[in-house]
Parts: sequence; C-alpha cells; structure tokens
Amino acid sequence: MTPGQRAEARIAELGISDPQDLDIEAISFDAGVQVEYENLIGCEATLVGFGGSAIATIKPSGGRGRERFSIAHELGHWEMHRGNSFQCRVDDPSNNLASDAKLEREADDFASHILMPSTLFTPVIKSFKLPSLKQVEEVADLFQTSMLATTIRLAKIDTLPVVMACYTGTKRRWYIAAPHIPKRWRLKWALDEDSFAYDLLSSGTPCHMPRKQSADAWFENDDAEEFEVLEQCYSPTDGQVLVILYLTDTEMFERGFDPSVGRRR
Amino acid sequence: MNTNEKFMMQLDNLFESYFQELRAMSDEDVLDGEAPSSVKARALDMLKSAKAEAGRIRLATARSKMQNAKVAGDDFTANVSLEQAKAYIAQVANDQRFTLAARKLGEMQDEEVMRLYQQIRRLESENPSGSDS
Repeated sequence: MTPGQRAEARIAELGISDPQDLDIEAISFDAGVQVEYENLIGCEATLVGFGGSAIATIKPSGGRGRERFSIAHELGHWEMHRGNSFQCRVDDPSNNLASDAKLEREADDFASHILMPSTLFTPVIKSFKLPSLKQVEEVADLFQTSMLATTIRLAKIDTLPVVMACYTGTKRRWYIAAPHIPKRWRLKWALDEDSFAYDLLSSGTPCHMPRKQSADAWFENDDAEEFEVLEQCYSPTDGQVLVILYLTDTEMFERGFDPSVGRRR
Repeated sequence: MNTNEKFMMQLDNLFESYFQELRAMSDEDVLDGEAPSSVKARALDMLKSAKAEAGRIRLATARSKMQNAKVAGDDFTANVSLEQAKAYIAQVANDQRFTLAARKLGEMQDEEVMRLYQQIRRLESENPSGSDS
C-alpha cells in the first residue's frame, strides 16, 4: 500500500464521511499518538514512541492548517516508520517537495491523504470547474488545511489539467503537474517577465482569478506560443510566489514528444 | 466499561447472532425468492454500514478518552544530569522498540534534551514492557 492508500484506508475504517469529522488529534489518539504543543526550536514537530504509544510534540503556529499538517505528518511516521530513529525536518510540504528525503515525502503523502481523503476531497473539487484561488481557500477552510497543502493536493488528485509551481525570487523551487499532463511540457526555471506571477513579485499586482496567458510565458517548448493557459498566483510568504496554471487547450494534450526539451522527470 | 465500549460489545453480539442465524437458515429461506446477487449486495451494504458505524464509535471513544487524558505529573528529570539524559536518548535512538523523530542530539538545546528525556521516560512508565497494544 502506498502512504496515501494507508491514510485513506484509515479514514474508511473510522467511517469518516464528512470533512468536519476529520479530527486529526482524535485520529492520532486512536492510533496511540498523544498530541502536545510546545515551542520547539528549529523543528515544526517531534515524535517519540515506545511500544504502541507515542507523543507528537507540535510547535504552535499561527495557522491551524499548518499545525494539523504537522500532526498528520507525525502520525504518518508513526504508522509507516515505527521503530526507526531519524532527524525531523520542517514539516512544510513545500520544503519537502524541494528535497528528496524519502521518509519525509512519505509522511507528507500520508498527511495529505488523511487530511484530504479523495472520497471527500475530489467531489468538492469536481463541483468547481476550474477553481479560483478564492474557491481553493473555501476548500482549505472546509478541510482546515493550509492553502499550500490544499493546492498541492489539488494537483495530485489528477482531475484538473493543472500545473502548480513555487518560485523563490525568480527561480523555480519546485513544481507539480497533474499526472495526466503530457510530460513534454517543460516548465521554465526562471520566472518570465511577461507572467502575472512576475508582476506579483515585482510590483504586488494580484492575480487571484484565472487569467489568460500565453503558454510561452511558462513553458520552454518552441510551440508553446501557439497556446494559451490560465494563470493565477498568490504570495504565501515574502519573496515567494505560488502559481496555478490550467492547461485548458485540449490540443496541448495531443502534441507529441518534443525533442528540443526532452522529457519532464 | 464506558458507554461506547458497551455499545461496541453490543454491536459485536449483534453481528455474532446475525451470523449464527444466517448459518442456521436453509439457502431457500435466506433467499426468500430473491436473486442471490441482490441478497449479496444488500448484505455487503449492511456490513459496510455496520463497519462504518463501528469506526465512528471508535473515533468518538478516542475523542472522549483524549479529552480525559491527563499528562502524567511525574518529573523524571529531577535527578538526571544533562549528560545522563543525552546518553539515554542516544541509547534509545538505537533501540528498535523506540521511534524517534527529533533534531540531532548535538543540535538540541538543553531544554529540548530534557523534554525529550521526560517524554521517553513517561512512555516507558506508562507501558514498562513496551508491548504494542
């Protein structure tokens, strides 16, 4: 079973059928993990376990979504990595996406699925055509998750033609594409000056609704200029911008392999 | 035994009696003129609902136990030096009965070392055998 499947199986086992019932502290307690809050230094959370019981210590944060993600992440470690000792990382899914730490990614996947199980999350997303940031925020409120975790999950459920990326300054930090997006489309490493994301970073011009943008502002491919995408973006922290692109032109899915850019990993 | 646990026991008894009743019935009585596939589908639905209900009770039990859980008051750090606590944590980190996700020992501040030590000892005192249940 993948980490996501394990998390979803737990949700089914507990008969959870409403996002309101995703009480992560109770779910953790049921699994033997008591949650405590302490001002930790240099770590978002720690986990100590012995036998069938554990204590997850969470650093209080301004956002409940972030705290819930940390709890779910530690629960993931407990469920999948019991009996191991390892170094904690900052449990920000964004940081772990930029790294290749296997255990952390597994715990993040588990967390993402247990907080936003596909049985509950997918129907909500499907009720929107192409969710705007405002609508993603409503979903985040419903599931009590952070905007970041919600948008990452949005890409991973693979029901929308979405690519999301995070840029620090003008350099790309990480990106995720819905699995059905053709791998030929190669996202640029540097923010293009024509993108709305660049405007947001340089002059604070918001782009909270999906707006038409030439695809060559985002993709390296020579034929990108033939297409348009929908772009929206926000700035979760100073100097950082998160971009959501919708590839709405079906022809973008029909183009063959592009040897000029190779294959996306 | 609290209300939820009693309910879970009643639910188990209900399953058991339902199962025994089914075993005692002839195939004709079980089907009662219905197609086997629809009987099977209905039985599976019932089982699914019962499982979901049992899960909800389990979660409600966890929630109520969690609210009543009190952090043990014993201070296990009282007569322990920082060096002793560090040595103990290092030993625990290599013991498979323990799970540890924390910063590297050398990077931890003293306060953090003592907190971790306290938590380890607390878990040990709650379950001295380290059993999984």
